[in-house]
Amino acid sequence: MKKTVKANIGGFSYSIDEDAYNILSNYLNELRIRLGNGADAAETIKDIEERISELLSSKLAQQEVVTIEMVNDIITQLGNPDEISGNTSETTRPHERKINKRLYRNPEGSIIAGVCSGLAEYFSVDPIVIRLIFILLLFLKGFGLILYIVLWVATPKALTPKQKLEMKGEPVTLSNIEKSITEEINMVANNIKKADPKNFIEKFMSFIGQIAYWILKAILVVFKVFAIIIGVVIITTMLFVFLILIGVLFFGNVVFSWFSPEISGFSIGEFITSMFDISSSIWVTVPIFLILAIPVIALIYAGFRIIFRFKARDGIIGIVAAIVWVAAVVTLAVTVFLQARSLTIREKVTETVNLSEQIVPADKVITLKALESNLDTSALNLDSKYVFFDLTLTTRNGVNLISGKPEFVIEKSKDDLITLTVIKNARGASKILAKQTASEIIYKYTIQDSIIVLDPIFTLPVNTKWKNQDITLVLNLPEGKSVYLDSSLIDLLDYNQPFSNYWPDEMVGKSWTMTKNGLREKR
Amino acid sequence: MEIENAKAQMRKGVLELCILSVLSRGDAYANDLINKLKESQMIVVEGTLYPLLTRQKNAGLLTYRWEESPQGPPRKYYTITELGRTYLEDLLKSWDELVETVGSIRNNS
Repeated sequence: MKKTVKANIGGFSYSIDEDAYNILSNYLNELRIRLGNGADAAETIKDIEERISELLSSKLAQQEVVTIEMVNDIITQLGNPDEISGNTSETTRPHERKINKRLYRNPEGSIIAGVCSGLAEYFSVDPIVIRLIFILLLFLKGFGLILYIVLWVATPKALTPKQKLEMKGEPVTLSNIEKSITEEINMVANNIKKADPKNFIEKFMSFIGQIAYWILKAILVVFKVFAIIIGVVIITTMLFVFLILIGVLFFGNVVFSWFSPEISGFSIGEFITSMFDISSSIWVTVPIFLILAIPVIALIYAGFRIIFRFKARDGIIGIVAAIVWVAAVVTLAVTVFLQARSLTIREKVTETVNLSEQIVPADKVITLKALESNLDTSALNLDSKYVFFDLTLTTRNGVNLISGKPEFVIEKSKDDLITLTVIKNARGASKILAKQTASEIIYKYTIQDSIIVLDPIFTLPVNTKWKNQDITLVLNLPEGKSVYLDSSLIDLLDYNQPFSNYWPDEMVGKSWTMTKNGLREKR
Repeated sequence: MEIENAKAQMRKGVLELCILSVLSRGDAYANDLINKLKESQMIVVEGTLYPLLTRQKNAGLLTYRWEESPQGPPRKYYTITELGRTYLEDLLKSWDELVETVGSIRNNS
């Protein structure tokens, strides 16, 4: 079965096989080129076309459709364009136009889309070699498949004889590039010899001109070699980036476990759903993927174009890619906007405990301690742990838990009371929501006799999302009162103590008295 | 240099003369001309003829008219003009001269 087209030849309509049509149309084009642009040429072409029409109609006696055999017969009968134009004898063959080899998909000898056999033509190797390489690449995390699809989309199919010639043209190899350089040098050398300069200056100028020409040509060749190198570098880097991108966005466990085998990490998608108020992480991961992947794919594609210099039908694909990209940006922007809106207002909830009443005996120096951290990964068999700003996201038995570190400061009481204030902060879309979220933060401490034990972390209730929650613990100490800071407090103490000029590590393990001028070490 | 090439060059030189000679004996359409010239092995491929016909027509050596054909498209019938006849006479004269000259060169050597 063959595709047939309608063609008007010499004023008559013919049904003609597509391949036959291509050959005939190339033949006439070639004739037009050979005969030039004059009125004579147009008339001659018309005569020849009419003759073709006449020959066709006599050949078509029984058949309905013009076949490739008929067209070939007619062309043999009419003679090739060189003979007809008559400006070449048979010994001086028409100067063969240098065919620029281009990458095409080869429809003859294709198994899927002709990508492999096209590449085989391009590199002048047996298609089986390319196919084997692709199959091997397929086992390399599916790399071969991506490559194949990119090439399938990007490379045109060789349909016309001209495209087929281009497909089979001179191979692009280093030895060929070398050959072309040598040719250039010889040509320039001949030109210099041939030149018949009238005086020294003319001779000199023509020599300079030749040298400049030669240098330009050499630069051009160097650029071509560089282009190939750059293309290869771009393709390999971008493919690597592409794989990393997919891994990080969608298969976090796999990627993170490469880096630290003892922790199976979250994927960014999992992380987002557990941290943010979002129905599904695809609203973030897919746009991010598209925003990054489209330029990466475009670069891979550009790399192929640089190397193979093929003609591409990239118009529509380019437009579609641009639209998808913009859509992804918009989606991400909307998602981020909605997220940001849920974080606009910051509110705090304060709980104050009067310690003066609870400490027994009342004049004893208060001791402050912190519990051992109970979120140690190895001790607790956590599935995973992820630190995000000052919050930690952990998973234990499939339950996600967000925890954070409170900050502890010591201030001077305005009255005579020793108080401990827990300030819970959170953000929300409204005051009520922010307050609600803040009050839900779970924080524990215990008071036993004169010892106050602080929890080193606060936690959020299960399924509570990140709303920039944090906790500040304030110990209000009246002038003259003292406090002992246990060394376990080192991580809790805030670096910016309003009534102390010492660093946390200088403060722990000592007793401190509140004076007129702030905290002073008790001796 | 190949012998075939030399022969082709010779034929090419007198092809114009041949076309006009054929037409001087009566009108003909392209196919007739082609058949005659092919028979006498003056042309190998018929495409060569068309540029020549166009050139001669534009030089006023011949004209053409359209005629319906029994089958297929209408045909161009070529007719030699008065100018063409004079031109042909000129050509034939120099052809005769050429034959004579060549003959004498061959015999003398």
